[in-house]
Amino acid sequence: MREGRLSRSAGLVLAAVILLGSSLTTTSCGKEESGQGPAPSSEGGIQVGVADRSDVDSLLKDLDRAMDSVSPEDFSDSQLAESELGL
Amino acid sequence: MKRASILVGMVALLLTISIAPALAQEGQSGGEGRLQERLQERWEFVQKRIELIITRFNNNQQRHRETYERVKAAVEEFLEKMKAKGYDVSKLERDLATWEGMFEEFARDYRAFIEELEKIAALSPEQAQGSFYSLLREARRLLQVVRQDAVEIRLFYQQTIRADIQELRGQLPESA
Repeated sequence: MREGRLSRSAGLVLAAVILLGSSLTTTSCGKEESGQGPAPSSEGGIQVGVADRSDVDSLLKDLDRAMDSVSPEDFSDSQLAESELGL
Repeated sequence: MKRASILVGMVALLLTISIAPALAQEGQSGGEGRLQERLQERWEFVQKRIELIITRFNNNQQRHRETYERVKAAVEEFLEKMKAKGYDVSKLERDLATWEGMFEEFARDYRAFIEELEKIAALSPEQAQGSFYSLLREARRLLQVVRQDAVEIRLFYQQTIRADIQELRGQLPESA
C-alpha cells in the first residue's frame, strides 16, 4: 500500500520533469525557427542580409567595427625600443 | 736593536715585492669572473624580455588574422547572396581575392620577423656581444614591413572592398 503510493509519487514527479523539459525544448526551438533576423553568418557574429539597403548599412557598420578593433600600431617599432628590451 | 729592525724591514719589503704581482693577478681574474657573471645575468634578462615581446606580437598577430578572416567570411557571404539574386559581383570577387593575397603576405612577413627575434633570443652571451645590434636592426626592419602590410590591408578594405559593397548597395531597393 505504502509502496504503491511511493511509486505513484515518483511517477508524478517523473511526468512533471518530462513535461517541463519538453516545454523548454519547444520554446528554444521556436526561437530558432521564428526566422526573426538573419542568423549569424560566422563566428564573431557578423550578420549578413541583402534584402534592402539597410541590411548593407548594418553589414558595413559591423565590418567597420571589426576592422577598427585592430590597428597597424600593434606592430609599431616602439615595441622593439631599447627600453622595451630592458637595455 | 737598530740592526734587527733594519733586517725586519728588509724582509717585509722583499715579501711585499714578491707577493704583490700574484695578489694583483688573482684580483684581476676574480674581477673578470664577476664581470662575466654580470654579463650572463644581464643577457638572460634581455632574453626573457624578448620572449615576452614575441608572445605579445603573436597575440596581436592572431587577433589581426582572426579579424581579417571574420570580415572576409562576411563579405564572401554577402557576395554569394548578391550573386544568387543576379547582381554582378565580379569586381568584388576579384578584389576579395587580392585582399586574401595580402593576408598571406602579412602572414609570410610576420613569420620572417618572428624568426629574426627568435634568432636573437637564442644567442649565447658571447654571441650577443658580437651580433645583437645587427640582428636587432634587421628585426626592426622586418617589423616595419609587417606594420606596412597591416596598413595596406586596412586601406584596401576602406578604399576598395567597402567601396565595392557600397556600389552594390546602390543597386538594392531603398529601405522600407
